Amino acid sequence: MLKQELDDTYLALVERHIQQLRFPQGVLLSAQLGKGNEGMKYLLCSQNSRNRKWFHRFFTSRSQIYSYTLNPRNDSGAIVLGELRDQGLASAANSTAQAAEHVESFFNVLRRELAFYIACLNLYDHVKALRCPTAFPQPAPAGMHTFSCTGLCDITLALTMKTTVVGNDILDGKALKLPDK
Amino acid sequence: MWLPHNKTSPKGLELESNYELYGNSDAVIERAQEPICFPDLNLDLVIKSITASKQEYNLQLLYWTPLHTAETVCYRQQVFQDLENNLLMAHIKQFAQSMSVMRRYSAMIEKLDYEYHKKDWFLETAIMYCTALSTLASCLEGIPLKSAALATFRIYLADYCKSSAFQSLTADSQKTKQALAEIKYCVIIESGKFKVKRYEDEADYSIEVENTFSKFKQSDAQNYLTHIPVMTGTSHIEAKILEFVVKLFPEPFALLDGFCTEHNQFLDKTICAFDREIQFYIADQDFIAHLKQQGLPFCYPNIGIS
Repeated sequence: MLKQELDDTYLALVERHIQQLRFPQGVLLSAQLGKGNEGMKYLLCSQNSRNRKWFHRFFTSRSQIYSYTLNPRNDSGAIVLGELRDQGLASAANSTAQAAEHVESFFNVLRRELAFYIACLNLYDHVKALRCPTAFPQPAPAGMHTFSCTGLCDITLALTMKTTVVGNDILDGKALKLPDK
Repeated sequence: MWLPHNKTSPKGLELESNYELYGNSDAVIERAQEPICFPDLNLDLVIKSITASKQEYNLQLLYWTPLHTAETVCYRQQVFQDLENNLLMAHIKQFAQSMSVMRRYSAMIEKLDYEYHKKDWFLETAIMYCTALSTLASCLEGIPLKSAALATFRIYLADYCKSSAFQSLTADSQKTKQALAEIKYCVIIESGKFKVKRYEDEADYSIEVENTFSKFKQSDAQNYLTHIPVMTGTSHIEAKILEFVVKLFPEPFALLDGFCTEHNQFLDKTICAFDREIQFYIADQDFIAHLKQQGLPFCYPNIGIS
């Protein structure tokens, strides 16, 4: 599942997001006009891919771009520009932080679930060292009250005594009844 | 230049303003000075208390102006009695509130520096005016009115709202606002500079991030959205951005220019007079309601003619 979900293509996509979040081509914000023609709804957008379909590029005229460079001493301008950028980044920053929380939570769950299997393997090693027999039980279909085994021993007794214990055989066809609490 | 100015009647509207909220032609000339007897009788304190929350209307002049006929007193008492209807009072207060916001917008326009910011606030003023009037006209329709003043005003308002000038003002303001609201542009912010261009279906990046990492989602995450206070007023940077937006979208701004030229004086003198004069009654009713709450009895005096 991990191989399938987190394959190289996916990891490359994540890597691309990490690169993009450094904004090498500047912060691209979409906006609309509110009351008084003041900008509002600033939203971080991703740059349109250069690989867009050729007919889309062919039939869509590219917008004119107007540019303005601040005087290096224009501190108030730089502050305003920074505040606009912060407004646009707020939503994407929220999504990124939530994504980080999801990733962290996913790996925490993965660690807990793996811990169960690692504990089983550790137990297997112990039991093997004590020369107790091991096997994967074969479950019978639900409703079939049958149970059989060969050399079934009390594992807690073996672990406490730290030695091999004698097992029991139960013949085929015995009905199994689990005691109530 | 973009402040709405009063005028007697809008273009194409031949309405007779028969309504008088005070019902007394000689009372229209408001007394500019407080009567000498007022402080002696402590009436100055009463008037001050009544008008305290309505400073913008300069209502004390109305209280200083005496009435000379019993007929006028009765005429006003009928308005007071109509306003005892809570629904009517609520509608008129809502109208007054909208008109007050509209005046605030108008005052703000004078303080703004940039042309298209001023023009859009002017447009907002017109929209607020149209909405306030249309709402009041439709609310007054089903309300029983006994006073001649309010009944006449209702007819005037209904005719005014149906006039071609008002209809054109409403339609033009909505069309212009719609055109401006459809503008969507992009700002690319780099270190020490910015670019402005049309929006070209660029995808919302936060949705892309959410989609990419959705496979890890097992439960709802904490909300990390930071509230960034939006600045009021306009900086030279935003003005520059708007200047570029105007170049990118000339048509909606041409509409806005046209609107400001065509409707540069849209306020109706009678409506504005009503807006102020009705405050005289509202202030009084609020004051009386407060006294009633304190358990004091109240009645309208019968005025005899001697």
